Amino acid sequence: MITLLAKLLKVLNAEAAPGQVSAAFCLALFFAFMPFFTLQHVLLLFLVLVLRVNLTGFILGWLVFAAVAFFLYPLFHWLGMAVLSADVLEGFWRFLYESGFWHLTRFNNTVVMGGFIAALVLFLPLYFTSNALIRRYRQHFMAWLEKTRFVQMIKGSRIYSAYRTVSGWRKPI
Amino acid sequence: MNRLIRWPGLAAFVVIAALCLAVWYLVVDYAAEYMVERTGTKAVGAEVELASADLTLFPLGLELNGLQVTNPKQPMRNALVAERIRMTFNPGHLIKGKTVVEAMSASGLAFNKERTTSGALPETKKLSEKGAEIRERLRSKLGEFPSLAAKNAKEILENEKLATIEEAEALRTDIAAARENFKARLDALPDKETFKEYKARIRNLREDSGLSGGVMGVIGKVDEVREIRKDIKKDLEVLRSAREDLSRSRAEFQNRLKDLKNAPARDAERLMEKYALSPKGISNMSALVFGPRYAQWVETSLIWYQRLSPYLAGMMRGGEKEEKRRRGEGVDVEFAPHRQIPEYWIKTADLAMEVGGGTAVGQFQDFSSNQQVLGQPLVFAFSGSGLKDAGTIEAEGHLDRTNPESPEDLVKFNLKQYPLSDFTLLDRQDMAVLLESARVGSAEGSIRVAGENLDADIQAVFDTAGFKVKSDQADNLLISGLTDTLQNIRSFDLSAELGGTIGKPDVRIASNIDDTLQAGLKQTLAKRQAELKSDIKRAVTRQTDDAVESVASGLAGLDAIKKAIQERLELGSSVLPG
Repeated sequence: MITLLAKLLKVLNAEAAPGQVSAAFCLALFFAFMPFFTLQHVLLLFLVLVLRVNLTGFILGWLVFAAVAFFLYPLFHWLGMAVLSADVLEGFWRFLYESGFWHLTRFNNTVVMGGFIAALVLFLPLYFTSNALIRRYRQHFMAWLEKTRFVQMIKGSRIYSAYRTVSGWRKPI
Repeated sequence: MNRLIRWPGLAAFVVIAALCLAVWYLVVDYAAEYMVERTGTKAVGAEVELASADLTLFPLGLELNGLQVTNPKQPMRNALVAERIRMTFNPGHLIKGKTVVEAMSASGLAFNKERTTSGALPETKKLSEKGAEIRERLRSKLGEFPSLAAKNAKEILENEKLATIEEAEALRTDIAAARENFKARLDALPDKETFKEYKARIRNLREDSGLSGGVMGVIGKVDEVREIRKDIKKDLEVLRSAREDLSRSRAEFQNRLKDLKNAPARDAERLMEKYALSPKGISNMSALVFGPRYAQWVETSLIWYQRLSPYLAGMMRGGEKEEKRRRGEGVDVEFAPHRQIPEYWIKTADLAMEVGGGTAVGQFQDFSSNQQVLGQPLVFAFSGSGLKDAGTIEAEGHLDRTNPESPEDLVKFNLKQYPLSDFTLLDRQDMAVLLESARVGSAEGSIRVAGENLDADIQAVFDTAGFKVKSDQADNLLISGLTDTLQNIRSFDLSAELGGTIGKPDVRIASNIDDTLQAGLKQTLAKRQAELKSDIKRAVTRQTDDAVESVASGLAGLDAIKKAIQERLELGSSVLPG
């Protein structure tokens, strides 16, 4: 069972290039910044699984950004309310509101709209920043980190052994 | 392409989606069943059960089977039973979060059916408290059925406290206290010795009436006589004042004694009112016979109405809901569509219910969570004709919350040729009155609730009636009278009115049965009443005679004090020098 799970993880988690990890972070940003389960979440889940992005990066990013989002909800609410009540966009929102389909996105919720806009704005900066940070990490810190007791403990776990067995452990790019 | 797409990921997505759908498919029916039962139980205050629920996607709808709603007042009976309720939803509105039922049908509706197990919830105190309040109010409006328990004067007096005894005791105590008070006062008043002293002083002055001391001496003696006279007058004044006080108190006690002598008659009258059936008592006998059952219906209806009131009030909730938001919940901004839709809206519902040995059909329209938004009241109409056991049943009405300032609920009904059998009208421990068989020739009326105010008027005509009075005390005057009179009644009319407010309803019941009962019972009652009255009076007088006697003897004690004061006054006047 553990071997089977490890095989699935290996397939889904094989994409470990900095760009693939950064893309996973960016998708996690959208996923975490919009509360509730909406149509966007289904689409994001589809993209995460189908596109060659790093799944671990996505899960890690989701956890981190969800924690950040908790503190930013009032800001999202304010931002969403400002956008949704903008006079110039009223006709557009009304058009979406009349259609049942767009209700699946919960676009008219202030926090969903605010979170979506925030994620949209942060998408590219996050992508390039994390790309650069991952490269720097791998160059300067990875070797040191692997020697720490915590990483050694993880490497000694059963699930990690199974993972190594099926992945034939390779050095990241 | 392969550089971008992870094909196993696509497979994983498909598997996850399929798993979610499978779980949804397996669980959704149970979830719907649970939701209906939970929400219903909370709203009704007793078990609401569902045999099964079936949510379908094409067309989007819900089917509820075997719905049972327990009557919270009678947990072994179901207030409502429905074999099958089917509704189809508007998917477009459902996505928008509005539950719009395009069409609904309910079949196998039945009311007041027996249950196999109790549907009571552990906590039903509030309901019973509310019920008790309304029940008490209705009972006081309908009057109390005369007691059958006490049969003769002796038994009545064994169970009753007489006001005469209490009044006599109070008067006796007051007189004794007054007597003690005046006795003490008498001791302090000028007595024989005082006046004897005055007499001696006057005698001394007279004996010493020579011219010793010259003119000045004579003048001095005149002054002394004047002084004695002044003292005597002062003492006499004190005695007079005491006599007046005593007379006043005595007169007061005399009046109370006079009143006390009438108290036994008052006691007898009160006991007659309570234990004997006076002409006043039988003047509205229909209220006493039909009232309890009618009051029970009113009570049940009002409790249900109050229970549903929060939901009815919700129908006129306007504007955006002011609710406390949780963190991250945000606000759903509403963009007014061309036509506003309330949160819940059943456009039409067709109902089929078992009644009168057949099926009556009905329809209601525009059952919505917010009538103000919809702009339409809930209207309903039911009818059944050609039923096996009944001629015609019709009801129509509305629940109007379109204007929150003046909410109004109205139902008008019309019933013809409806049979009744073994219908219990009055069910007491000591007696029961049954309508063994009858037919409602016609019954029509309206019930209107405007805000808190009630207004109902029901007129019914019954024929082929057969009453039965059940009791172990068949020889009891009232029971035998009722039995004799009711068994000859074949047709009667009944008028029931309801007014007041939901919390404090007023009921009035009248029937031509009153005249028949009065005529039938009057003569027998009058004779028995006279006998009982005389017995009670005699028994009360016997019991109260001693008490009244002891009060009268207490007054004699006061008279003795008064006599003593009078004697002192006379003595004082006799020694007063001229």
